[in-house]
Amino acid sequence: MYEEMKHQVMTIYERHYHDVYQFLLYFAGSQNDAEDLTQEVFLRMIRSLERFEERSEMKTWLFAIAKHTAMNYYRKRKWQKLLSGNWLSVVMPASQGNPAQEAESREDEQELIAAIKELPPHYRMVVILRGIKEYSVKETAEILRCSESNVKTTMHRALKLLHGKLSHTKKGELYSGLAK
Amino acid sequence: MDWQNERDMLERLASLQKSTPPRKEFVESLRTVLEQETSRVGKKGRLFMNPLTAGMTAVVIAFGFGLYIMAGMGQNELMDPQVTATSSQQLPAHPVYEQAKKLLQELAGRDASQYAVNGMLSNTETGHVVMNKTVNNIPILEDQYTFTIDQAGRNHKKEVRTNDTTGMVFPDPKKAMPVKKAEQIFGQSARLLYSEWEGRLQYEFPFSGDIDAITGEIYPTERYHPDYSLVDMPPIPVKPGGIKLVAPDIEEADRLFREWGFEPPFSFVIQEDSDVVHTYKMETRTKQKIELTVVTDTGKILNYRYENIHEKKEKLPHPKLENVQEAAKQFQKYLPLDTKELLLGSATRKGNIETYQFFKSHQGIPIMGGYTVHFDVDRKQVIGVNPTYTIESKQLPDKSKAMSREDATNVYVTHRPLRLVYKLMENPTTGKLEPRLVYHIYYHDTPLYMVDALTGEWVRS
Repeated sequence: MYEEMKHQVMTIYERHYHDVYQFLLYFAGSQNDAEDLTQEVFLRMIRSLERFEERSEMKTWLFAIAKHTAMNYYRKRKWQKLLSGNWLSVVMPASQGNPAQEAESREDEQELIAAIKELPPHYRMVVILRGIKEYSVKETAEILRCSESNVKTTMHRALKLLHGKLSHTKKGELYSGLAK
Repeated sequence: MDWQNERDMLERLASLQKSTPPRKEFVESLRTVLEQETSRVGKKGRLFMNPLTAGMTAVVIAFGFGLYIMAGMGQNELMDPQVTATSSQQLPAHPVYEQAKKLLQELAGRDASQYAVNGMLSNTETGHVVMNKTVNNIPILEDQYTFTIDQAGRNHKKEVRTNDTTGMVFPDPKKAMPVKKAEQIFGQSARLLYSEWEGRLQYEFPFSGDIDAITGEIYPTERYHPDYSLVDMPPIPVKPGGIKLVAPDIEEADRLFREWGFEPPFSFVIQEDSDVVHTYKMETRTKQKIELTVVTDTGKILNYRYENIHEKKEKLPHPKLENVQEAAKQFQKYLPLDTKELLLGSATRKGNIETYQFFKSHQGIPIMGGYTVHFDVDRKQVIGVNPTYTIESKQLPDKSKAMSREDATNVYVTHRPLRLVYKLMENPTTGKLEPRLVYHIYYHDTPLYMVDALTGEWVRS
């Protein structure tokens, strides 16, 4: 039975670690925290696997754990100053190409991630799942346990907020750069 | 925020998906931690559910020269003499493809000449290469290797979905119907919908499945998108009251709960979900629990939940007309004054609570969004409503201007073409897997796109 369980756990891990990690990375905005939280999610998964009901998809269930883990983190951190180190330079792999363009694009990405981090937690989750991970409205709603209309409305508002934050940062220059 | 800006923002967000993989060291160390934890928990002798994939799918992860083989791998697959496999010549050569073929040969011990790169799923920029075994130059969906290769030529990840196809007789592709015929079958699902938010009339393609290329039979697959299908029922005429359904404060929430037939006194908890959204959690003396999530500024209802989660939800293909009419009658005072009738979308039942999805309509065509109305069939009482027609509406175009379904289908399949593939399906009589030649749409599930019925624009919903 142990072998079967090990196989099952590792299969779940290999399939989903990347998605769970990215969700938590963009939520927490820190590589270190995202790694800690990812570990926590999978440990919780192992401990509660016996309670998993196949009525929901494994991914949905796993993300529900990730959501709770992220919210706990958010509550703990709410009154603390979030560490904002140079995690972006750590996690973003170097790529080949024009260094000037690359630096500009990196800067744009950093601004976007910083803007996501400033969103309220529910908005942030919707943006990550729907916008970054491109999950469907239904999947996002199932993961966050809210209605599909909530997802749509929140996404619309979040995009508006992001647009506002980024426009403010770049004073209107941003969208001319996006057409590239 | 205009449409162009929103689309730009969505593109920027999606680009983040590729930019931040977890550190290799972290992934490996967490694997070890999980193995240890599994061992610790597993030795407590707990019971676990059935294997996730019933042995059909295996996931293999390789780092450097290390290779973990998790399941279902290692058996030598004998070539069926009836089957001739050749690599696809459709894609231009690329070093990352060559690297993937090498890995397929070296790590998985497969004959790379039998596999072809799946151009629909591969991306040379990200080093993501999907390879399918081919028969008659046609990929087999269920025999697939995925490699992610970094710029140094090292593979990060390998995912395997494989099946032993030895002895299987693959349908002759010469017998396949022309793709146009399959597109016609696909296009029959197209239906018109209005988007009030964007003032657009568009074609939706709710088709989800594969089309048997020989028989035309449809093999349905699960669909994740919102369901705009309608119950076969005449439109429900209504007398709208034009009252806004909002709960800006606890008094109004309390009033709504009373209106919905819950007996006071209630115990309330207000949970601040974020700076802009909060939830009223209400419990009655008889332990009924309801949650109402609203936008703090406006009181607009974003979500409604009635706690009967332990009861099983079932589809209700034929709800009673009298119940549907009664539900509409009870909440019609909250409908905008220009509403004349409602169309009934999906209906479900959970215990004694039926949930109806009502759509507004324009010229008889449903408007995207909906009113979710929860109705207690025992008490003939609406016990909650979640309205979603809240965003400012634009003028809707006349349906007579819509292009034909055939033209819209042509636009759709330009972006998401039907591809001929082999799909292994279980024969219900023998319980064995058998290959079917099917027309398949890659990326059919997500994200959801529709076709503007006036301009033919390809629009993301």
